[in-house]
Amino acid sequence: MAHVLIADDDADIRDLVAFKLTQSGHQVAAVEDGLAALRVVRDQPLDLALLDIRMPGLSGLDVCRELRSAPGTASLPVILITARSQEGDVELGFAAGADDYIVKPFSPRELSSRVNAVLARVER
Amino acid sequence: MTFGLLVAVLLLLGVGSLVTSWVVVELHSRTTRVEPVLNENTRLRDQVTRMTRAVRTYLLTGDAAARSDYLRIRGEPFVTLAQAREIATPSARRNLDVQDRQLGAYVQVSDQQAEAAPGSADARRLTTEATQRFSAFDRTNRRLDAVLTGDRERLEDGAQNFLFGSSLAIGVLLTAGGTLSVFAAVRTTRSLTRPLQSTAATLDRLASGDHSARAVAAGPLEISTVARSVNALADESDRLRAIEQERARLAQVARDIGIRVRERLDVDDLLDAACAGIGEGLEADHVFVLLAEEDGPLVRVARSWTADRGLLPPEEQPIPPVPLDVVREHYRQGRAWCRNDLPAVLAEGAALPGAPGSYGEAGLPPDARAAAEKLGLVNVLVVPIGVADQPLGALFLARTRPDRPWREVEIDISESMASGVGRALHTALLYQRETQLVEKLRALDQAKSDFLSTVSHELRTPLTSIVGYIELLEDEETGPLTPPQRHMLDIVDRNANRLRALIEDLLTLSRIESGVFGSRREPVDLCRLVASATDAIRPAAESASVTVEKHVPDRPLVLEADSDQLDRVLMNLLSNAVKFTPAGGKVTVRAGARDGQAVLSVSDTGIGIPEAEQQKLFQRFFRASNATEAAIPGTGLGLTIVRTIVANHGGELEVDSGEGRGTTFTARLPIATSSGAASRD
Repeated sequence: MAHVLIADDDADIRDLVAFKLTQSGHQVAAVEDGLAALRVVRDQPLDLALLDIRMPGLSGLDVCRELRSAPGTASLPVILITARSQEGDVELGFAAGADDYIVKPFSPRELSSRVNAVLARVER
Repeated sequence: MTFGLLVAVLLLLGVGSLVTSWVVVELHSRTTRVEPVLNENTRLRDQVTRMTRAVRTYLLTGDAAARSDYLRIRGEPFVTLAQAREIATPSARRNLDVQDRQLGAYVQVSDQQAEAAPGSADARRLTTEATQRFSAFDRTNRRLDAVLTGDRERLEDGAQNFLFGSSLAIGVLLTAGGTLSVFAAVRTTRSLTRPLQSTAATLDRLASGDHSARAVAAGPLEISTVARSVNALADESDRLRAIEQERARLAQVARDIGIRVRERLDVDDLLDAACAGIGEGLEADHVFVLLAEEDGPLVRVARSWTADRGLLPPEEQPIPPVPLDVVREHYRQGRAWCRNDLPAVLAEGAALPGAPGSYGEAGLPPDARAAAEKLGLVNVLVVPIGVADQPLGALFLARTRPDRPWREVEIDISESMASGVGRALHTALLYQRETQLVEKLRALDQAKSDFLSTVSHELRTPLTSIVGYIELLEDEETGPLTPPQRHMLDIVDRNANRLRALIEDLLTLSRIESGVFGSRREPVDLCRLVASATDAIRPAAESASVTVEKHVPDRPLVLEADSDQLDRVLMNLLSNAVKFTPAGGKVTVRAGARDGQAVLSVSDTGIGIPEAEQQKLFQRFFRASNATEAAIPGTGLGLTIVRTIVANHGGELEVDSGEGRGTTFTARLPIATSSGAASRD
């Protein structure tokens, strides 16, 4: 069981991710923008953050960089969700300190296994 | 003067000769009158002597023959005497008359002697008488002889003296005449030949290119007239040559400007070059190029140049716009309009003589007139510019000094310059339009790519929800499904995947075409790429009961390529092969090197492609008729992507297929030069 944050401005995708991860036995916090995500990270204990890159206000990349620059969250695992697999988003994501990325459209099964894989890697 | 002298000498010579001839004739006539009388006188004495001898011989010898001789000849002396008298001079005739009387007296006695008996006393008396009378005759006769002889000698001496004198005079005159002739010849040489020679030399110098040569107008009137004519011709030739040189210089200027404007495809550059070049070349004070705008009623100054300031900033408009109808009419007339007295025709405030359109009817509008006066334009030359039947504008040249009118040669040249500028301008305008069009098309293409990219991305988010929720439903995470529900969900899922594939392919294509990627080049081992692609396709092939074989060399086959793109090529070709091959069929992948190229082929035993459709195979969204009939899903973009990637790598893609006999796609790609000897399988 882990505490997972999903930040996406699209409610349907938030619900989809939240549903799938809850089914997988995780505790999920869902927010709709980057600022809310940072608030959650500050207020709650977290094991992993799923951040959509394209969000109004702070983007997923901004949030990721912000997390990495703060000492308390520097090691929080981050998975970025991108709609652009081949135009530099991936490189930018890794440069911002993301642990993994997943490209839209993704399968919930794949998302769940990626989350578990990242969590397992961190635990080890 | 010399001629006068010469004529006088010749006249003197003539008169002298005439006098000499007359004197000679006169002497001759006098000689002929003296000489015969002398001869007759001598003959007279001989005859009388013979008569005396005959009568004395009779008286001495009594010879009858002598007596008859005497009787026969006694009449002869009177005949001779009469003849002499005929020709004698009066003084001689007086002597002859004396002789005649004495002879008569003698003959009276001698006749008596002839009658006398020889030896008689009578005879002796008669002889003494006769001798006395004969002596008297003889003395008279001899006196005449002496007188005549003296006359003859005197005459001969006189004639000789005269002849000598006259010969001397003629000789002197001849010498004088000759000298005068030489003098006249020298004078003639000086006054005729020398100026003529000088004029001829001047002509030679002129002919050999010394255009400064001029003849000296000296000598007699005719000669100096010739010299003056030669000088006038040389001056005229100088003038014509100066015009010709000016024309040649202007033609060179026109050629230079023609080349300079031809080299320029940018309209502004071209106008700059034309304005400055023409202004300097034609020594104008102002140059304006008026350029018609598309569909505008006014033709504005597009570029201005002045001798003082050079090119003026575009916003400065020294002369107001000209109505399009004036420019159009001017171009239709096709001739330059020139006035070297603009203030005079402006002052009238009426129609501009010979000007095109409304200017020729109603004159310049007040603002144009004011501008012309303000600029001090005096000599104005306006040449229409255009191409074919399309007027483009006008070239306006002006000078402000009344002593610098536009000459014919400059007008001609300005027309040829304007036509060159017109052609170049036409080309530049076309080029400008084309460039603008290309820019517009490029922007459109970019907008299209951006749009495609954005739309594709925007489509991905809803698609994520669709496929995600379908998966949750199919995984029965919200409860079990009935078979019809599962069937329906399968259909939704299949179509969602189709939509996803379409979006991916569109995105890939737009990226490849916009050149966003394809620039990345790294050493790629084609054999490894084939192996991983074959492994990736194998599950799908197995589920379709299609076997996959690969034939690759043991050694690496290295290309300089973008491995992601080559992987996409392989995956597209392999998934197509599997997709179009019925169960039990086979897909074969080969990689190798041939003729310095990497050759990659994917063959299948599938349904093939109808030959008639192979031409269109690589067009976007094209799908073979037998594929759509068999309801095999596809976007129609896969092969377009494959071919574009292969072409981006400098390679070629070929297809070999026929309906029902399978398909082979062969890609030939350049091998990395650093890999050296490539291996063959």
